[in-house]
Amino acid sequence: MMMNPELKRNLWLELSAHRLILAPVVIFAIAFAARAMLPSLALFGFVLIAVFWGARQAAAAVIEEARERTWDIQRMSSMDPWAMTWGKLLGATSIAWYGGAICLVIYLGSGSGADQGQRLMTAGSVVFGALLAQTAAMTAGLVGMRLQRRINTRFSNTLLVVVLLVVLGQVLDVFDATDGILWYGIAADRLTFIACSTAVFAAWGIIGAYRAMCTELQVRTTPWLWIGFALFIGLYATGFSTGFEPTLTNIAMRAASNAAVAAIVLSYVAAFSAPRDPIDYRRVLRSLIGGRIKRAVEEMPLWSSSAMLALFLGLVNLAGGSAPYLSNERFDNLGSAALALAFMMLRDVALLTYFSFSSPARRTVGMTVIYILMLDALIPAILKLANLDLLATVVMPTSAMYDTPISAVVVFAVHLVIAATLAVRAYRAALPSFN
Amino acid sequence: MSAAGFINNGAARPFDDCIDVIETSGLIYEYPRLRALDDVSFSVEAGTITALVGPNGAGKTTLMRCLAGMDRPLAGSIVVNGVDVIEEPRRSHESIGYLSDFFGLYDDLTVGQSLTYVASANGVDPSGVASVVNQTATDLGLAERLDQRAGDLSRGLRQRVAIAHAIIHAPRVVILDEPASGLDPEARYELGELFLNLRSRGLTLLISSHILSELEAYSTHMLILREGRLIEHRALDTNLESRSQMEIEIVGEDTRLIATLEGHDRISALERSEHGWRFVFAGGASDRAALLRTLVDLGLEVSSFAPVTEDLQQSYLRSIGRLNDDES
Repeated sequence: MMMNPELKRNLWLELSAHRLILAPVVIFAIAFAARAMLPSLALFGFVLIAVFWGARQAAAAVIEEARERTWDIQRMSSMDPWAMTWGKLLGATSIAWYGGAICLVIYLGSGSGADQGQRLMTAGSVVFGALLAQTAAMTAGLVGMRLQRRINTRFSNTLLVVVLLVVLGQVLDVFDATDGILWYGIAADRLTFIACSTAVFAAWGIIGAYRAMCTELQVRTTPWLWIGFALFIGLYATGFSTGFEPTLTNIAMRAASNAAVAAIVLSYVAAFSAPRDPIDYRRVLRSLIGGRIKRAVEEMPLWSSSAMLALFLGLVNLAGGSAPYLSNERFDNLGSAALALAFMMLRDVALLTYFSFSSPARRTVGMTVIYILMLDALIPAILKLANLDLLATVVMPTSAMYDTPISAVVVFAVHLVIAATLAVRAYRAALPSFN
Repeated sequence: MSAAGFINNGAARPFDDCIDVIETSGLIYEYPRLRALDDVSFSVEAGTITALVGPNGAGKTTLMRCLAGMDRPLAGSIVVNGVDVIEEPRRSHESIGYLSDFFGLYDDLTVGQSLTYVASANGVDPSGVASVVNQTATDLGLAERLDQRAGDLSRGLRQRVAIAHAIIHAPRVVILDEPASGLDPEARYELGELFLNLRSRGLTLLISSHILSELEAYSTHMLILREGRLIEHRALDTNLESRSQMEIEIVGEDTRLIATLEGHDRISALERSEHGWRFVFAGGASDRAALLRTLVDLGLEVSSFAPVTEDLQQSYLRSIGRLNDDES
């Protein structure tokens, strides 16, 4: 049986005899010197090596290809996206897994046997957590490559370390807590729940990396998994909702509200992270005009599928008449405000599209963010200071979203029409003149 | 795909005469505010070497990337070796080899590892990979370099490794974007010999270059692009004996020369050249001798009467010049 060529190539590069010998020597030496800090130190070592370094390696597996101009070799191969994904994922991180595995052996082997079950569950959680971090990093690398940006390695590495240190602190707190978790009314052991959750999210991470690889390798895909992910997030988050009678209708409405939030957030992520090329939009239009609906669905920008889901769920929330409830801690129920937020997201994407099509070489993301901040925060604040509350509401109908959601929807719909008009004009101007 | 490539089994692949191995139709590719390819349609016969020429920004690289399934055009169709490249880009790669103008190599791998990887990634049967690697390395003069790091190679050798990547899986079509760029004259000559060798084995090559004198050494066809449009696609006549364009020079001026040439039934496209007159002559050696005898018998002092040898550069400039005339 043939070994995955991409895995083999990465193993040639990563698993040198020198590294294979040096890694256990260094790790065991540190463990021996700091044996008083075991087993926590071993767990920290795993997170440092498999999560931090592994994520960096996974991202580098694609970023380096672009930088070294070898990506065309891989794109020209006849390997399918799945083989390319797992070959890179496992191969590029092989030395990180090797070092991480040694840390886990030390972690599981140290301390008393009484809490062995807990340790196994913790180990499972961090293994899936590492896989999740690595798949997320690879997906980010693939998306970054499509944007054709020069990636500042030093800055991104520093940022990654800072973010992961913060995350690590949270993770360790979660592991240290002893109380159980209530999910859909089911009392679950905290560690077991975390292990299962990270496993499921790691699976989504693998799917995400695979789909990003499909895009890079010119393999067309439909957006159903993206929509499915938004719905999954909605259902997952709903399990934690409390303070309402758990009837099927109530649960469904909460899930619709949470899924709407997820769909809105995912739309923002997709719109801001993907290349914004007017020719891609033209391609979709040509497919639609030609009656090639499936092709149009395959070619439409990813944000539009989750945006449609957000609009649909917003309407469901509106029709369901569920009342929005916002506490200091979190959104418990977006209710009918979901539709207004969906329109706000569409307005922001239209603004982004307008700036991208108007001046593709400029820093359009930064410019769009500045305009959004002005619209949503700065201008309303100034208007309120000037006692022009009504005008402030027309610019940013925050309170109306909860008091009179329909008026908030109307305000954002007007915003959307203006932004969309600008975007369409920029789209027409960006097309070659002889069309 | 065949488990063992043609290089591996060493047998020449028979030419598929008159079979179009590349077929494009109505190809349109757009960038924002620029149409890079505008309704480009052409076919390339199997076993030919086509020189893709045109000024900077003509759309050569875009066309090559579309043909290789690397970029997706807005409209049109591309079929390479019977596979729709736009619909099935991954499958089409089994029969296409492509070398980008700005290629990279896996500098930390040895040449042998690098070739092994590319062969495996392109579906060469595992049992045949080693022999395919050895044969390809031998064909490209890399046999002594298999254990050397790619990062330690000279520019010319790196170019050879990159070409080896493009052909190791025995594709039917090889697309090379500026393959001679940065090479010294000797390496360029060797590259030309390599292309002729590949053609003799049945490969179809599409090569772009700005150095037309090099392309002339091995090209059988010329495809001219300008501003995204196909200007001309034709076979290059490499047989000097069959060239039909002639040039005649006489001492001084004599109206009888023009009268004779204009009245000759085998002469067409008569035009003034720098030193004399140029025309297309539809006849063989005895007809040419008869014409010369006629002119001498008239008392004209013929100082030169020879076939015109037009090189690729002149041919290209003539095509472009004709286009400019049409446009003006």
